[in-house]
Amino acid sequence: MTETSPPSAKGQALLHDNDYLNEIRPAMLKFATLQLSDPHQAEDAVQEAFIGALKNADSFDNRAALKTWVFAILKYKIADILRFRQKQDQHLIASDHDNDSDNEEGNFDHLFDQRGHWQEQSRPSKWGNPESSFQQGQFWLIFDACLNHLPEKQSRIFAMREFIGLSGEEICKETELSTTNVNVILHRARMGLRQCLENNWFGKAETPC
Amino acid sequence: MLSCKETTKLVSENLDRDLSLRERIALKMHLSICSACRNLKQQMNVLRQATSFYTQEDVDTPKPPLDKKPDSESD
Ligand SMILES: [Zn+2]
Repeated sequence: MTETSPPSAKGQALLHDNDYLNEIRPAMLKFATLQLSDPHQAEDAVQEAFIGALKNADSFDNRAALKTWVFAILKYKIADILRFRQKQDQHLIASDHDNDSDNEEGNFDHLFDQRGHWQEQSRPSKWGNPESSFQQGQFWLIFDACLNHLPEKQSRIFAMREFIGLSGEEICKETELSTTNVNVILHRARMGLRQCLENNWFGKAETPC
Repeated sequence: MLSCKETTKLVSENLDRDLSLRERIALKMHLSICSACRNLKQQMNVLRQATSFYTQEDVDTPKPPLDKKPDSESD
């Protein structure tokens, strides 16, 4: 990597603002890991995104801009890796490509009766003492698994919203989905996640297997 | 009157955008009479707390116990 024109002082200062970089790094890493399902590749992609940001340090002059910039590079890296993978196993994905899981997996109709009220057995329970769950490693394993279990588009949009903190509007621009679509996808993602956590953690997990 | 199904949608969207006055009133009314939807709202708040926890430095998903690998036998 060759040094070209020196980045702006302000941009440089931001990149040496280790507290802030450390603050946004885990979210970026979680996002990348979720998309790539490969912690090492995710680590590399995030690393490259930060290096890429360093090279363009004069393009931003505040923290929000830095974060947006790092995220933009990261997404590009991820897309690149996925495209490469897709090329590698074209034959594998050919068959279920047109089977858009969105309709089926996002359908929660079975939870409700005809009038749209909760079925007796699907009424959400009160989740007691979540803070103590957050202290348990086992909880995060399940949380991880539930996230990974979501349809790809849902987990991606959910992660943009909740990991990176993009607004609905920003996600629209990123993805070219309509606001309504983004809202629907986030709703489905949350419904899927809560169901998964209810079934596997907060609910009565009496009979394993 | 909102159905529970419609309520779940508003509860979720309330986390992403400002609801209109009409939506807020409808939501409030439904929640005041429906404990299941109140629980759902609590759950969605927990989800948000959990994700913010999840993406902080100090929470690292632990390795499952089975993940133990014999080190450095090959190469
Ligand atoms: Zn209800």
